[in-house]
Amino acid sequence: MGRLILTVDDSSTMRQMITFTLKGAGFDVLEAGDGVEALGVAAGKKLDLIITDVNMPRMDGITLVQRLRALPEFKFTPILVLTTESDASMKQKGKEAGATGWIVKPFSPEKLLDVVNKVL
Amino acid sequence: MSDAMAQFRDAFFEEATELADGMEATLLSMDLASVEVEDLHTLFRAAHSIKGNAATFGFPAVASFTHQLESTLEPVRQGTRPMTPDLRELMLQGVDLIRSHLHHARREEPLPAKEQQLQEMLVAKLQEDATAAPLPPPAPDMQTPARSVAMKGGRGFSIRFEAPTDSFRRGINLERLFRDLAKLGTLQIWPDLTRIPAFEQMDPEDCHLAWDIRLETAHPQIDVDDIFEFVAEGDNLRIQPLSPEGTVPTLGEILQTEAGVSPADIREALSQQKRLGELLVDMGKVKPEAVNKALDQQQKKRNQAEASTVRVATDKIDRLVNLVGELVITQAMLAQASQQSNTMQGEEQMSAALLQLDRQTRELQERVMGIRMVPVEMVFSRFPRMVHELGKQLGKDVELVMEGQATELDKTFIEMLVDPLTHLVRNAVDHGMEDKAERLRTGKPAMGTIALRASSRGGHIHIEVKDDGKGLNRDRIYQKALDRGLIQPGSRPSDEELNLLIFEPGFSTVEQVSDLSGRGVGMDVVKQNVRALGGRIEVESQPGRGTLIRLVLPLTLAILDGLTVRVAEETYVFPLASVLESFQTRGTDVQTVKGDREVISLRGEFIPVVRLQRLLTVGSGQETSDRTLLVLVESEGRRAAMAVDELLGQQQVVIKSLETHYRRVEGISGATILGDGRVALILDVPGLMRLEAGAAAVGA
Repeated sequence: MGRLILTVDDSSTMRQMITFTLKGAGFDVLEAGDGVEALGVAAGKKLDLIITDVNMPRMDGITLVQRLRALPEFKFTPILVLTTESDASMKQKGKEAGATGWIVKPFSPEKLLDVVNKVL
Repeated sequence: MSDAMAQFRDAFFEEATELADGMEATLLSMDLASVEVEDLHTLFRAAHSIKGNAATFGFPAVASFTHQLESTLEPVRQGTRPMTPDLRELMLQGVDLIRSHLHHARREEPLPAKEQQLQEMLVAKLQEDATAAPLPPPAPDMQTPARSVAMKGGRGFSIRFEAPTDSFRRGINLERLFRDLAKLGTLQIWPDLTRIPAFEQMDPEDCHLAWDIRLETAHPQIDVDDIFEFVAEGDNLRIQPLSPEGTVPTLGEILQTEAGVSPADIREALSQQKRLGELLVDMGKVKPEAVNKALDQQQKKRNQAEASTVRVATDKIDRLVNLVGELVITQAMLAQASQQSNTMQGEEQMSAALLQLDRQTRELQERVMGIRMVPVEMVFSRFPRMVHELGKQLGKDVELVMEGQATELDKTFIEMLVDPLTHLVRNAVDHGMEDKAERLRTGKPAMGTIALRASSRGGHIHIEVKDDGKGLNRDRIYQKALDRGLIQPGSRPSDEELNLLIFEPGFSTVEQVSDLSGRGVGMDVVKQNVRALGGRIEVESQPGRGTLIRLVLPLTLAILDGLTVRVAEETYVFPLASVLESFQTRGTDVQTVKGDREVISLRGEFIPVVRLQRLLTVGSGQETSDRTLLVLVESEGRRAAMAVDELLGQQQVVIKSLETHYRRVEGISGATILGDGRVALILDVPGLMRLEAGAAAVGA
C-alpha cells in the first residue's frame, strides 16, 4: 500500500507539480487549496506526511501546522512547510509551530523527493 | 517520456536559462573589491539548481559541467578562496558554456567537439587555478577545521548529536538520520542515555536522546550537514573531522575504534585528568601564581613563534608576481637593445627599457616594503571587548570609537604596540574617565567616549588615544614628580613637560600598578616601546575636557627621523627621538670636574658634556672655539650634552646596517647614504654614553 501524502497549496500549478512528482515516486496524494480545506480533507484520515505552503487564503500554513499538532492523530505526523529563500525566519516560525522540516522554493522535483525521503 | 514530463523539461530549460542569465548578471555587477557574500550564495545556488534539475531531467552532461562550477564556487562562498578578476572571467566563460549546453541539449544533440574542447580547457583551468593560488591560511578564528573538510572530504567525522527536546512533537524520524548517515560510509554509534531524566520527572513526549557518532566517509561535510538540516539547532550538533590520514591518532580515537570506548566516557575521563600545574600545586611543589606566570610566559613564547611569520594578502603577492613578470620582459628588451646598441633604434629602445626598469624597480621596492605592512586593525580589534569589560568592571559607561583601522603599519610595530596601547586604553578608562555620578555633576553625558585613531601623516603614523575624562591634574603631577626627584625643586616645567612626566619610570604610583597588576606594564613601558620604534609621544590635556595621547611613529623601522650634524669633517646623524634640544653656550659655561670630566649646568641640573670629536677620534681633537654647540640627548633616563661643530638639519634617512657590511661599532647604530652620495654614520646615543663612561673610567 502506497503511503498517503496531503499537499496544501493555493496555487494549482504548484499542487499539480508536487502531486505529479510524488505520484511518480509511488506515493498516494491528496490535495487541498488552503488550511481550512486541509483540515477538512485530513479529518479521519491516516496521513504519512503533510506538505503545506505558508501564504494561503483563509488559513495560512503556520496556523495549519499548529492546528494539526493539536489533534491527537497528527501529533507526530511529519509536516513540511514550503518556504522561500528570502524569508529565513519562516523556517524558525515553522519549527516553533511544530513543523518537521521545510522545503525552500523554488525547488526541483529531485529536491522535493530528497526532503520527503528525509522525513518519512 | 510522458507528455507531462516533457512539459517539465521545457520548464527546466526556461528556468536553467534564467538561472544562467542571473549568474552572468551577478558576476558582472559584482564589486570584486568588496564582494557581497549574498552574491556568492546566489551564484552557488544557481549553479546548484541547474545541476540538480539537469540531473533530474536526464541531462548528465549539463549536470556534470555545472557541478564543476558549483565545486569551484563552494570555497569561494565559504570565504576560503577569493573571487579574483581571473576567476570571474572563467566563471563567465562557464556561464556561456552552460548556455550552449542547454541549447544543444534542447535539440537532443551532443555538445560540438569544439565546445567540448573549450570545456575541458576551462575545467582544467578552474582546477589548476585552485591549486596554483592557495589562499593564505585563514585567521585562527575563521578557521574551523571542519570548514576545510567541507570542501575536500577527509577521512570522516566525529559527530556529537543531541536530539532537540521537541523532536517527537515535530514528527522527526530520528531513525531516518542514522539510515541516511549509514549511506555515506561506515558508522559507529554510541547512545548517550545520561540526559534522560528520572522516570517520575519524564515527559514521554520530550526527547532526551543523544549520540556520539563516528562516521568514516569520503563525503564532504556539506553532505553530513544536509542530513541534520531539520534537527541542527546550533550547539546540539558538533561535527568534527577525524584527524587526517598520516597524522598520529589520539589514544582516545584508537580506543574508540578498537575497543569501542564511547566518546562520552573519554570526555569524562579527560575532565578528571588534572593539568600539570594543578598537580604540582596540589603537591605543594609550586605556588599557583608561579604556574600562572609560567603559563603567561608560555603564551608569550607561543605568540613570538607565531610572530616570526607574516601573513600577506594574496593580492599583494599577485602584484609582486606581475611586477616580476614585467621585469623579465624589460630584461628581454634590454638584451635585445644591447645587441643593436649602435643603431638609432637600438638606442631608443635602450632608453625606453631603462626608463621602464627604473619605474619597475621603484615599484618593486615599495611593494616589497609593503609586505611588512599590516593594518592597525590587528591591534585595535582587541579593544572594543576590553573597554566593554573594563567599563563593566569599573561601573563606567564607556563607548569606544575607532577610526583609521585600515592604516598600515610595519608588522614589528604592531607587536610592540600591543602592550603600550593596552596600557593607554586601560589607563584612559580607569584613571582618565570620571565615574558616572561625577560626569553628570559636571554636566557631561553619562557615557564617556574613548577614541582610538590611527592615521598616516607625512611619513609618520599617528596613533591617538583620546578620552573625554577629567584631564591630567598637573598640580598633582608636579608634586609627585618633586617627591620622586624627577624634577628639581624650584624648576618651572611647561605644561607639555609636565604631561610627559607621566611616562617617566618610577612615576607610576603603587595604586596605578596594582590596578594593572599581572600585566607588568607601566606607563614607562609605553615610552620605552615607542622610543625603541624610533617614535615619540605627545600629550595634550585640558582639565575637565580630557586627555589625548598621541604616539608618533615612523612609517617603518627602516627609515629614521634624524638630526644631521657635523663633527670635524664628518657628518653624523642623531635619531631625532633622542634629541631634547640643542643650544649654543660659551666655553666658560662648561665646568671641569674630577680632572677631565666636563659638565654643564642647565636649569639647575648638572649634565655631562661629551666631546664627540674626541670620543669618535675625528678631527684635531682640539676645540679652539670658545663657543660650544651642544645637542642635549636623553636615553634610558640619562641625559648628556653632545658637543658638535655644526647643525646641518633634520631629515629622514634610510637605515643601512653596519654589521652586515662591516662589523658592530660601539656608539654607532648604522649608516645611511646622504643625498649627495656620501655615507653618514647614525649615532647610537646609549652606546655613546657607555663609551663616554668607559673613557672617563680609563682616564680617571
